[in-house]
Amino acid sequence: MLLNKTVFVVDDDEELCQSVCALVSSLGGAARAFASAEAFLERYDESLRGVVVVDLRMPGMSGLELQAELARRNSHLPVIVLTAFARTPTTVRAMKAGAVTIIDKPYRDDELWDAIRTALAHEEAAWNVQKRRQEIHRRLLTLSAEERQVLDQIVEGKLNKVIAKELGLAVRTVEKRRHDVLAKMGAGSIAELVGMALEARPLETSSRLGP
Amino acid sequence: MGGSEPTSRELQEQNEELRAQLARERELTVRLLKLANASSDLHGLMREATALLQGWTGCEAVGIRLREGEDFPYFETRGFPQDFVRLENSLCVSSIDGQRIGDCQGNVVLECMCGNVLCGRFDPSLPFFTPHGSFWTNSTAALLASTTEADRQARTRNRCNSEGYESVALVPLRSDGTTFGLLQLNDRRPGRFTREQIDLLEGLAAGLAEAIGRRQSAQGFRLSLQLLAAIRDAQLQFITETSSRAAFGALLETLVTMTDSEYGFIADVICREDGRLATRNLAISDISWDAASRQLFQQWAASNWEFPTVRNLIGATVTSGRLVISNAVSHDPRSGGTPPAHPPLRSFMGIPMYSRGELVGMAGVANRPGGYTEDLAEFLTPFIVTCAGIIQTVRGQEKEKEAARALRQSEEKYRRIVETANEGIWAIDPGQRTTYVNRQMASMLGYAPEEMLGRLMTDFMFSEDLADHNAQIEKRRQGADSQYERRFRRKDGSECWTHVSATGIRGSDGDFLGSFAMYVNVNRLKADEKRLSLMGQQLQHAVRLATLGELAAGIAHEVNQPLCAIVNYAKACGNASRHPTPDLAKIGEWSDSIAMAAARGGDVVRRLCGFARRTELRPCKIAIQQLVRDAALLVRFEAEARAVTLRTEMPQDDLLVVAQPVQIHQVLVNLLRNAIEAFGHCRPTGRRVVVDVRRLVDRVWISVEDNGPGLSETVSERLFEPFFTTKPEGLGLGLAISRTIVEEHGGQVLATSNHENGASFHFTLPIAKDALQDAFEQDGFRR
Repeated sequence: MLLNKTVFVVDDDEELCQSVCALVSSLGGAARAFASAEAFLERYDESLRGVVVVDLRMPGMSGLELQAELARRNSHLPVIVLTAFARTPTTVRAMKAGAVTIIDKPYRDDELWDAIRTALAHEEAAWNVQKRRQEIHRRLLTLSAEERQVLDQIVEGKLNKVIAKELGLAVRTVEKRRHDVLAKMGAGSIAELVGMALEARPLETSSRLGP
Repeated sequence: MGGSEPTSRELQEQNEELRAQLARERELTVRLLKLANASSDLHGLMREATALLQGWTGCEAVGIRLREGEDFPYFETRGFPQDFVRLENSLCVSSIDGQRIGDCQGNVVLECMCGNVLCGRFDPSLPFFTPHGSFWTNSTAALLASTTEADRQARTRNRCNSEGYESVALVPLRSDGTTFGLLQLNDRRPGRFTREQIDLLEGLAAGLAEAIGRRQSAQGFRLSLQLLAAIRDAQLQFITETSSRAAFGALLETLVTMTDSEYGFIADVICREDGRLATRNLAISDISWDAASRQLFQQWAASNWEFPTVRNLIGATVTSGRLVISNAVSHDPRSGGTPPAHPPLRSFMGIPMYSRGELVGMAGVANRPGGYTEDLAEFLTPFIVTCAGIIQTVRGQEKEKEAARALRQSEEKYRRIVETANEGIWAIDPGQRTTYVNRQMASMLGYAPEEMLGRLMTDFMFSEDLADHNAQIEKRRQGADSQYERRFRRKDGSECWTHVSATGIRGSDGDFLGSFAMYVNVNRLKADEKRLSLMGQQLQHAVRLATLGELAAGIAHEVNQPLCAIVNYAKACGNASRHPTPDLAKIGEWSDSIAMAAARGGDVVRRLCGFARRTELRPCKIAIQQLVRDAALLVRFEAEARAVTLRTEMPQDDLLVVAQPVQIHQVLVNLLRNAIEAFGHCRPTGRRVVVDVRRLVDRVWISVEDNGPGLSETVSERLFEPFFTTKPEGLGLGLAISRTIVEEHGGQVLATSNHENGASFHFTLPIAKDALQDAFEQDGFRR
């Protein structure tokens, strides 16, 4: 489970950073320490595998701000935020947004390690989802504009006849394009095609709105 | 060539004549300037100047008028008939009986053409005036026939004309805007003057006027010296003479002489029982010259020289409290006339005398030739001040005598009061031996009065109070009364706190004869005060605890960090030890880290407890840097939460201060929190708080500076007031307590604000004595 995965420890308190690294390495895992969220983001790219353990309050970017930034970048990395006192509305909101675990300090002996393990398990699944999404996204980019138009109508559940009428095309033309889309996307059925389109939507929106 | 052209011979003659004339003029100018700058007195100067001008102009009569009071009589004449000089001497308008007539303001009117020139009444468009205000004519008969009185500006007496003078020139002697007089040139022959001659005369007159001004100010200076000498003599007389009458007599003599008056008086102004002001003569010139006036004089003497104020010139001086000058008394509405046997009164000056803003007296002088001026009164000011001072002193002496009499009368009464007084009364001689002590004082200390008599006051005191006691006695020796608190040792050894009100006892010659004081027992008050200061300590403690509560988040962070580190390391050690081939080196390293983290946690807890502790009564020697670091740690989290960068700038070498660490810690935490919280919503980025520590000779200077919004003026004024706060949840005690603490440590607190650069709070602490020594040695101050 720990194969190829790293625990990224982000904390301005060097002692705490080192102690988390020690804990991870005692279990045969790899850990890397960063003194600030900014320092971590500098090294970040989407191929990183593992989990981020970050302190809530730090000078500069806080733990929650780091988590939000990773989400914006469509990172699949789970985030564990360590906090010194009772949860605030901000932390609760962050938890609802998902992909984040909050641990209150001081924690019981296994609490942090359990959280890391759970997070790593989720990371495996998230990584797969991410991989798949990226593949679908890649395939979507091979569609021509006309094919893309037809796909969008299909996802909305419209029949060929309706699509032909709305786009001012012959029904035969619509049928041909649908056939090409299925082939390019590698989907076995219309149902599978719609599923793929929906699955890739997060990446779609972010690539449209992104920088 | 044209017939009207002059021949070359004629031209040559004209040229030579012109050259000769210029040479004569130059010679005249040079001689007059030499004269003006010679060291001769005014009389000598005028004599020689008139002679010179007479010789040069060839005029039969030359005269110079100079200012005297408000008139300009002849100062020097040459070639005028005696009668002409006598009759024309005064330019003032006078009535038949010789009294001067003033205008509606009582000002003297100068008449005739001389008056015009002196007063600057001239019309430059008229041919007989020059633009500089000189008058000249080559025929007075023609002038009178061809002009109206309006042209001639004022009534002319025409005595020059009736005396047969046809050529008349009147040139003002003016310098820097001051008119000193005029130069007059008369000749019975008409046509004596040319315009060029008048121009030259004007130039010469200006030089002459300047010379007169120089001599007059030198004379003024001599007069001032004379006046000062008179004042000095009068004061000496006042000090040496038993009677003040003699001193005032001398002063009056000086006054009359200095003002060229005929007679005068000095009086003090008193408020009579009926509420009216009255004058009482302190000195008066003897003005009796016949039987009737002698009687008047004696009559005044019988009334103790006291006169109620009436409507006359004296009354006008007293009731208005201002300088009164009347140079035409018979026409002055303020004058009330004089008694039948009174000598004639032509002019009068009344000068009020003030001492400490109160009208205490006045001086009056009469009949100065030429009248009185405000300048003269101004000149007399030091003299008048002296008179006022002496009057005040005389009054004080009279009051003292009165008081001494009253004291003797009520001595017995006072003795009874002293014996039965509620307060303790204690008198000592200059050697601090007890000369008197009343029963209350003695019983306050647990003694009988007889036991205390003759003993030193210091026998009843605590040795640590002696220095202050001796300082108080010294103050009293120098004449200062004082009120203070003093602790005495009772017969049973216990303390007795008293409030003292003490005064020195002085003999009639001013010698210090000891000290007399009243004592109130304030033991109960003292106990209250102790309670109060204890409350102060409790208050400080409460505020510290409140601060801790407010800092809870930061504190939790500080404690949790090492705790988490310990858990992680311990877990890691456990994991590693269960490994089939445990990495002992790693386990050892992690165990060390556990110890270090635990130590760090302990450190935080120790600091917190220190801050929360009630108080550490014994001050100790401690490095200010450590206190700053500890305080910075307590607020570090707070700073981070508010995105404030906290920086300290301190010298490497320890600066040792003697302090109660908890208290200074509290001051620092308080100043730091204020600085951090000062930002509010202002300056979202780049917030900075800097603690700057430096040595300033024998003290440490600690500044806490922020780059926030600064302090408004109203806030600055009330900063250190207890319960004044700008924070919604603030107690308003932080700065008040901080100041108390710093001042108790012998330091000072100061706040400065700059709207651009935020606020700075500074405080100082004395450097520990031997630390100072070390520092001096290091800096090479020694040797």
